[in-house]
Amino acid sequence: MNLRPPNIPLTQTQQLIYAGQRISPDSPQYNVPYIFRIHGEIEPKRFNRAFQSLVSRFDALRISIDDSNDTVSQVIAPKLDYIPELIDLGESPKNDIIEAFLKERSQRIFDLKGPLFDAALIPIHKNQYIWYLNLHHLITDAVSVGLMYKAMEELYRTDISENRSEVENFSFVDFALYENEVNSTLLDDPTQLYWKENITKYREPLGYYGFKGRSSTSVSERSVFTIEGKQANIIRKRAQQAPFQMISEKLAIYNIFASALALYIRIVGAAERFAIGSPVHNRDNRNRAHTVGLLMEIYPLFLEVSADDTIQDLIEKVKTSSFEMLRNTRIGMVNADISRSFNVLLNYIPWHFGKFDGKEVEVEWLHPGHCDPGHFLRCQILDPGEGEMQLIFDLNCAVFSEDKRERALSHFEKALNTILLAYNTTVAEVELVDKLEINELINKAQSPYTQEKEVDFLNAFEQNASKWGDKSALIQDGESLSYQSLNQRANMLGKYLLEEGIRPEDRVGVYLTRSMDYIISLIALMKIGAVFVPIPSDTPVRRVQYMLKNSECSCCISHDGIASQHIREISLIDIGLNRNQIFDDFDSEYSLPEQQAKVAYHLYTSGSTGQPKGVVISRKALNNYLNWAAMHYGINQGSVFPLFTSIGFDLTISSTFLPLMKGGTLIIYKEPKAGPDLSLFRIISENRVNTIKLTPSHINMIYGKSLGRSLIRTVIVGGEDFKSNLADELYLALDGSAAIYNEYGPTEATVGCVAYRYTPDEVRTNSVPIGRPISNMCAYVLNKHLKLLPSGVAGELFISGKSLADGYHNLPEANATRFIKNPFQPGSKMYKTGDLVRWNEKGQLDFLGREDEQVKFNGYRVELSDIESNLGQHDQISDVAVVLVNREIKDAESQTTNCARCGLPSSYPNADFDHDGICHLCNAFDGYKERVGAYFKSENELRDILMTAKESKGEYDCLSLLSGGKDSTYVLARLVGMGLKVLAFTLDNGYISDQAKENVDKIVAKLGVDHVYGETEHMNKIFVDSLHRHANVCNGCFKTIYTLSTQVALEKNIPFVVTGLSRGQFFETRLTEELFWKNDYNSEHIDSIILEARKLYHREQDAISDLMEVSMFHEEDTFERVKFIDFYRYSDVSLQELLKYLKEKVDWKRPTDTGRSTNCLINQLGIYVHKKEKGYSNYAFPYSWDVRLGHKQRDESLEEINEEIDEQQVKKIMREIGYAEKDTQSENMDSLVAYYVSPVIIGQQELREFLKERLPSYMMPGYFKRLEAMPLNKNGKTDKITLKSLNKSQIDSDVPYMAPRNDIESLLSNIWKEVLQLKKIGIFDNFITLGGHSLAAIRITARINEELQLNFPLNKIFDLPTIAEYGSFIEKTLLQLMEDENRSK
Amino acid sequence: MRKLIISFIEREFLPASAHLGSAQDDLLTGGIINSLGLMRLIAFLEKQYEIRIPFEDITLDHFNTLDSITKYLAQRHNLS
Repeated sequence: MNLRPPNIPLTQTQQLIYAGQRISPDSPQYNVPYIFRIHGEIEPKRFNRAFQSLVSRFDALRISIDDSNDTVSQVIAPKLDYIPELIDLGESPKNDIIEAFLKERSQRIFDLKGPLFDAALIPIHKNQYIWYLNLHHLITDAVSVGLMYKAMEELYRTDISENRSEVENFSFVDFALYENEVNSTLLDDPTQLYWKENITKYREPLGYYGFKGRSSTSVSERSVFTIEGKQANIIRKRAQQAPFQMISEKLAIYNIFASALALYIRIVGAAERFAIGSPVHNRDNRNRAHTVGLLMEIYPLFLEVSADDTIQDLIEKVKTSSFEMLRNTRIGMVNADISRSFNVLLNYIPWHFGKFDGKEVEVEWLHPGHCDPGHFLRCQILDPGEGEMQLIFDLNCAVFSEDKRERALSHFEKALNTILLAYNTTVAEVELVDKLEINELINKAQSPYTQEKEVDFLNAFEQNASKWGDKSALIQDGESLSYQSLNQRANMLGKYLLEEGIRPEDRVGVYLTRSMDYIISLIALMKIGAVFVPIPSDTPVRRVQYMLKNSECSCCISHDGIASQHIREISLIDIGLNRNQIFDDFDSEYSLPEQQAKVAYHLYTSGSTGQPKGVVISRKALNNYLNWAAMHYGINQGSVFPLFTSIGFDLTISSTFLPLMKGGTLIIYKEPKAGPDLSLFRIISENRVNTIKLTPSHINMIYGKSLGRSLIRTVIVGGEDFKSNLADELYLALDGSAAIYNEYGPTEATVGCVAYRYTPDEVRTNSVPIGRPISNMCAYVLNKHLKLLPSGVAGELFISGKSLADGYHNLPEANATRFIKNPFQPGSKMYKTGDLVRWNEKGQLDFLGREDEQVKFNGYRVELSDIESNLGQHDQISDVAVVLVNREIKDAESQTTNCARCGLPSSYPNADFDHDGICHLCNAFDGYKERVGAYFKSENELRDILMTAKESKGEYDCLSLLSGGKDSTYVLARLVGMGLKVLAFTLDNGYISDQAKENVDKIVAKLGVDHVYGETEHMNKIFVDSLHRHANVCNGCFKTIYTLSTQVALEKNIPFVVTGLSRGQFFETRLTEELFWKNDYNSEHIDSIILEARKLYHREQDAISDLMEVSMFHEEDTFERVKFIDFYRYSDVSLQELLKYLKEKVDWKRPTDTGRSTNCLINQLGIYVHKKEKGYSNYAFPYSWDVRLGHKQRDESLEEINEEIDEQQVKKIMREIGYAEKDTQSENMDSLVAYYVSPVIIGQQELREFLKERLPSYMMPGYFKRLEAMPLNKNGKTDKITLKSLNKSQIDSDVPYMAPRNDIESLLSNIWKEVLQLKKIGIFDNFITLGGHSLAAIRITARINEELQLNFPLNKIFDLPTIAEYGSFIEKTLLQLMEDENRSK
Repeated sequence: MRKLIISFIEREFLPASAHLGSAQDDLLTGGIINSLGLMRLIAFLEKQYEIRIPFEDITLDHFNTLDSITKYLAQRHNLS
């Protein structure tokens, strides 16, 4: 009698399948249907008896699922009557009838209440029967089918009714109970670690042929390939040899296929790290070996394959990894986490079925048309042990499009052959495409366009001049120039240039603003066969010089004096100055002798690193582009283009030449001398052009501007990735009546070499495709080893053809690496673009980003453009840029060096050491040393000041701040020595050491002075605030002392508070170097600034102003009634002298209970935090000044700033004062920052939720930051360098980033950057939020006043705390001044 | 040690009440133990004797017969 519990929990794997079925209740994705085609006669009744016995023998067949309760369980019926259906398909049914029946039947959905199988007998004809058996995966696995067949065959053959006692009972229930029992113990199993660690590393979902993300369907298609007997035997033989040979032949064969699959995935999935799901049958002992049911679990086989691995390496990795996998399997281990780590499956199934009652049998595993949607690809190998093998690919239809499904098996087959034969090949060298596909790909690479007849630009232009002489060629600011005049002027300039000695092939710099002069110059230069080198007017001087030199220009054309200062080495032709001379004879017709020049222009590419490279473009290349573009974009006499982009940008070539070539008109928009170029807005508002060439960033700039009445009908977009949503917006904004083209092309392939016409109703991809190559151009998608990649697989784009540049000028190394031999067209070259692309399903190229935009983030390969396009789909976002911010890694303390003179550490922000190891502060100090000297005075002068106190009515002459340290003790003693009545004041901040307190008490007793302790209950909050604001405790402590001592002084009518600040501390808290820059040094002026700063200092908002009584600081009177005197401004006592004095007068002793040179226990907490957050001690800067001013020795200072800190003590104090340590670790890590342009701030949480549905979690940006507008570089592309430089507080703040818009704002931003030690500052950033305080205000104000020769007060920056506000205030002031000046004249 | 291994193999892999024929029986190539079973045997040995059997050592030479297993354990792990 069996006393088994009626309900048994599901095993882990059953739970996974149950859950999958519940999610898709109508999908037959877990049906496992087989047919056994038996060649011979079957007696149905005998068959039924056998089948009934089968059901009785294997309890798995009697399983039903009980999900009526909260917990799902399985129930095993003790008995189940089941008679397989006898199917009548008619007399000798045709194959299609049989197939249709099987298809329908195998897709039937099982009722989980059971039975979970469906069996039938189908007589085909007298000597052929089909046994149909379909089982739900919940009760079966591959091994089970073999076991059931064997049992069924035996039961049928012997036809003895089953006597259960005689057959050993291999029960699934036993297994399920065992699984449940061990399951709970697995949590502590050492193998857990192996899985957990690997799963976190293998979270990146594997994509195939460019597909990424999740599949939405379970629909899958099966492709079957027969591995011929000969090939199969080779595989079996290899399995017994090195390198495959293993303890078991089956394992070795598995490894062969796993290696092939890994190679295939590595190439079509383009992932370095992936996991292959590997079913492990779990029949590891005698009982389980005979058990029918779902025992199998699928484990991930973790692999990391690099492109440089050889096949041999890959095989070794597979061997090791499959061993590790097997070794770490434990029954019941596979849970949802483990099973989510792969989406590809490899199942090697020994497939041996003997005869059925002596009759031949063919076994077929049917495909129910569906698969678990988590399994994108299932690769199954059926191996009967001899003869041919069957290779089955089940491919998810959402992941593998039809063309991919057709190719996948052939690619795998190629991978398999490589594994068997080419051990020494590297992965990157493997080509999966076959000859047929290679031909197809090479065909795809060709241009679909044919060029009918090609005309030369210059000829076409000259013909236009003679045909339509009076027609406007150029228009600028209301002035227009006809074709005829333009031609004449070009002729005249050409003649002039010839006279100046310019010869064909000479390079000539064209350093002009966008102007008629510019166009005239280009045409003139072309006419005389010279080569033009465009240099935009805003190019930095050094770069201009570099470009002229590098291109070996023989002269440079310029105007408006823009070049006067920079060009010395070569002759300069100023068209402006020589206008009369050049265009002297306007009426007469010049024509120039025809020149056969090869090269058209050199254009400098602005590489993100290193020097710009001069790209040499031939006339042939230029003409090829212009002819194609004019034809394809329909340029004609009616075309009106604007010229508004930088002349140094190759995109501008289209606007410059296309209209003039076809008799159209070019409207020129000159760039401003400084500040942002707003020409595009003018173009839109003037509404005169009908054709425009621009970048996606430009489109973003006019986003939201009304374009409803725009005349623009042709838009050519280039220069950047063109996002689909932006194209949609533009299309709609132009009422759907404009033709929009996406043109791709590096400068090295002349403006545009691949192009696509946008259509609004196409399948949505993130970016508009870039299309196909233009006439006479080819585009290849290749891997690192220049092998063709299958369609869909991302690779680098290589370009060849007529429009290819001749190369870089004078850069043989760059030429050798970027312009390489074209293996597909011997004798020609191709250009390595560095851009990632793939062929999409429609045979168009998709742009996937720059190769260098692919970043590694937390070990994952992340395509920034992928995040950008997904975030760009948010309704309210019009533009996006994502950057990887590499947090600065602070030098380890051991790596810091110190200034040879003052000891300033190299970790101090912007520290800059010269050849002798002297820091910038010391070097600058040499320049104003004397003026600093004048700031310091003598003790006599101090006495004179303090003696004035005697005139007041108070009890005390001064209040002396006494910490108990040597410096303040000396101050007190000296003041007493001067005969003053002194009140000593000490702040008890709760952390003064006992010995320091003893010192204080002893000193005041000995000197006979009155003494008060000040204290506040808010001290700990003040410390915490100070740590947050300044990363130290001293700032908060100082301010508390000043606040409390001022209160005491006011109460007791004490006119002076004397501090014991060291001279170094003056520079930390009061003085700045800027104060000494002016030649006309004025001590009173400095004092007044310091006083002004002190007022601001006390009026700043912080914990002290919130918690303490500070109202007196809002009275001007307070600062009159209580003056602060720094004792050491008047005393130059040396350390020895000081110590000697103290010993004699007050018997001062250095406290020993702080363990350090200080008398305060908490300040080491400040140092600890400061060092951790800023990378250096907060004492480093003041001490460097003490050394610089001769009040401390360098060694002494270094010893103190490098003192060991007792971390345990520090942590204890942190807890006491309630300070939660910042997680600097995570702050210092790299992070992905997403910048978006939107009319409103969108909550971080909302954006996260939005992206969560679209991106894997490892691609989630850490920060989102709204921008008013995307910062652009000179070429109108997104300026990612700027975006990378914002710091965390800027990103965290709600203020959108906006780059400086004009000169004044740039000046302010530079000053702020230096003083606040930041890399980038937006014009809306707030001074205080950025960490600005009164000392920074002094420095910034002094610098502004110095630069502009003005005299702004300190508090202005608090009133106008942003660069935008301050800037407009400066502008107004300057205008006012100019007006005043004019009036006075 | 030998007895322990024999009883593990008999308990886990052989039909009920069957015995291991001889110390030279091919355990792996003879189909008595499959590769998953070998992993279990290895896990058993590792736990029993507190050793770590490295991947490179898991070969037919070392594990195909009872003799080879005991020889391997003696040579590489000083067990007897």
